[in-house]
Amino acid sequence: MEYDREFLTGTVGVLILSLLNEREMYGYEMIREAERRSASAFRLKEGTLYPALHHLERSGILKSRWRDSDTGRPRKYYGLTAKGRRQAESKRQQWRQISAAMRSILGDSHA
Amino acid sequence: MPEDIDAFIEPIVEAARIPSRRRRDELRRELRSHFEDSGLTLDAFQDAVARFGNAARIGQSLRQVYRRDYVLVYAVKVGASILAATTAAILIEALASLRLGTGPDAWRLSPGFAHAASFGVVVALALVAATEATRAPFTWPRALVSTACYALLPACAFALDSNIAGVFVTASILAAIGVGFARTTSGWTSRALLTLAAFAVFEYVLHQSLGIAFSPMRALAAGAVLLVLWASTITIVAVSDRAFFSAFRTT
Repeated sequence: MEYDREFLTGTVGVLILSLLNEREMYGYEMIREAERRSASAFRLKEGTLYPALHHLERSGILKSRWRDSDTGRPRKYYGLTAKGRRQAESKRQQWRQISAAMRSILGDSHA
Repeated sequence: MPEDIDAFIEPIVEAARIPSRRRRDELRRELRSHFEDSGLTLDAFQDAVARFGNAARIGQSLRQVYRRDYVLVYAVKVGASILAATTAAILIEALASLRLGTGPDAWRLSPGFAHAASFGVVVALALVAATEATRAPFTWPRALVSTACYALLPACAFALDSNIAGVFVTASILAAIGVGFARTTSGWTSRALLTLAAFAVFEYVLHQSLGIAFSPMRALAAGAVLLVLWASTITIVAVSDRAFFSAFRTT
């Protein structure tokens, strides 16, 4: 399903931080993982993902390193820094509050 | 297939304007590995390209990320141009002020050297500022920053010496003439001759209007010194430009 871009603005950062909160991943893996977990509802766009990853890395929220993937090919893995972990937790809480508030407004809080 | 991947990636890397070669290589490598993960068949490549979206837009987004580095390197380039141009201006004025004679002080500088050197430095600064302000493609922010930085100099210098304002006005007019001729005329010879004539006429008219005796031959000689200063400054700016842009070239 194609979502209104307005709804998705600001979600890329939350998605990246949430995914990386569990383990290090490389770009392609993040796209696949987001797609898998959302049952293909979400598809991180490559053109959005890579600039966002570089931005977060330069902001000190992510760190990266090259290492061999499971296939044996080297990949650039991203992980959270201490600052990134704090931000991930803060974003997660904010997102939960926003989504709870939205559910209340939409009238499906018992769904 | 690898050629197709490179053909898609290179414009993104180039548009990103990342000053560090290591980071550019890393971005290239990262994007290439993404396409390898997507699959190396033609269909897989075309799908991946479609998902990536507009290459120019991705390059623009990455450029925003690395903008601070770009601005910093640009400032270093302008600083280096200024240092080289002002040093050259002092040397040129020293050569023009050199007086040869006999005896113990056979080689000496004329009494007006200090004034000529400071004037030469201001002309070089004005030329660098004018070149930056009018650089193609023209942008208002760059023009305003260049003009404001140049305008700060007389404001600071005026606090020290109230007579300095005239020097800056004169240097600004000369820079406008120099950059104007550098932009509008083609061919080095015609450009140099026209600029020399314009400088000489300006020097002559300026001195006449101030009531200072100044022969046409002296005006021509003063114009020739300014011409050398103009040529050295625009050459220095051009060389630093070439070095700057080659630092971002990806191929």
